[in-house]
Amino acid sequence: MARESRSQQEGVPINSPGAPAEGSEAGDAGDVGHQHMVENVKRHRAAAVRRFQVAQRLADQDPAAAEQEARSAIVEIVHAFWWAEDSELEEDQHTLMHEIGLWTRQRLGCSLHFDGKRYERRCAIDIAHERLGFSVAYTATAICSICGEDVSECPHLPDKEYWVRGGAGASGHCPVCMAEADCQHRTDRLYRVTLTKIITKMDVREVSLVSRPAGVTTRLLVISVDNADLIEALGPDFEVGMPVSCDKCLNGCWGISEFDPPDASLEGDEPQQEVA
Amino acid sequence: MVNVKPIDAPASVTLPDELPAVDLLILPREVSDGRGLYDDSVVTLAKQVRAAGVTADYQHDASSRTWIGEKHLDPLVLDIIAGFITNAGWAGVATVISKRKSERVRVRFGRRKDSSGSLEEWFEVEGPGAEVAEALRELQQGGSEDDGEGE
Repeated sequence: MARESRSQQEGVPINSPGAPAEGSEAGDAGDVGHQHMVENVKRHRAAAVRRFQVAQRLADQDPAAAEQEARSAIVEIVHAFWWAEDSELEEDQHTLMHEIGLWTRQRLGCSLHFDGKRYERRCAIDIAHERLGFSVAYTATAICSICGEDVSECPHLPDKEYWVRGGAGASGHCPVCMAEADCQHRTDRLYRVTLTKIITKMDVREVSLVSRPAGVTTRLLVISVDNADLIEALGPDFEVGMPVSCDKCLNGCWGISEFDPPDASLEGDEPQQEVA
Repeated sequence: MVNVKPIDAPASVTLPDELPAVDLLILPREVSDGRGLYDDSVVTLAKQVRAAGVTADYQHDASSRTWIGEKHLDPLVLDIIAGFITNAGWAGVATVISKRKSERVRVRFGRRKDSSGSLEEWFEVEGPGAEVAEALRELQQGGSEDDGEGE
């Protein structure tokens, strides 16, 4: 198993003893979508843990650097949370997200962003508790990442793996990592891959607000806060421009709001966007 | 929980007067300027069905097909509109769908009830892949017993 895993990562030299034939099937792909989700959750979580540990180490001697690491850890763990949404991995990311949020609030402090006129919620943890994102509807043509042919007619199946060379190939992309140039995958080695649909021409039909965007990180970045709401909440001594502390993470999870999508959508105005 | 119901033919979709010599005909969601706009969840369906030994094709040839993608996590991982021409066509779709197990799929399909083509009926089956596949097999058996439809 370890050997198989290494061969998947490093590739098998073409024509080496026992090397598979180029283009041959490498077995069933399994649940590719689930594997992709798990890999992304692990990657972002690992980065979050690493940065959080650095932030904790730096907290006493270099608070500014610690804050930078802690805020980066928050972004990473929120990305892990979004990737894990609705899966068996979601709750673990949610728990760590609040752990990092609580530490950051207690050690470094958190406040609403003020742009000179109004306040904004920009914290990724805060925004992660709104299940809301942008969805693009489009029409497109698509090619196969392995052979570069029309993906609806080429011989490659989505539930199979194939042995293919690394580097930019017939599709113009490396079939292993999808990079168009400068990737680490070698043209003299074979790697196990599954097909990926590459969109070659896309016409945007509409952009909608949805609760579960498939573009996992196409979420809101900023939520405006009405000054009147702050005045009402903070009392007559509050003046617009004063720092406003955010204490949400001090009291555990405040619940996740589910977005109820309206019927309306934003019409696309760039009908000829091309995506490589 | 699988939901099976008779439906009207989806708007702008019709079974052609002369059915092609395949077991399964995949139909577009829309037709625009002569191009068939197919749900992008079926972009590999024909070749997956062919891999199961069943002949399948799209109503439009490759140069006249475009794929519609809606990038939100709709629970539907497969949204199929198709005409079942033979029992093998049913079986081919059921084989592909059954691999989606608990993921939600929807199949809207039409079939001819008589040889003249004047009687056409449409159904919609939606639910977890494995259950939809089973429902399709049951519908297929019912249809075959009713009218002798077959290869």
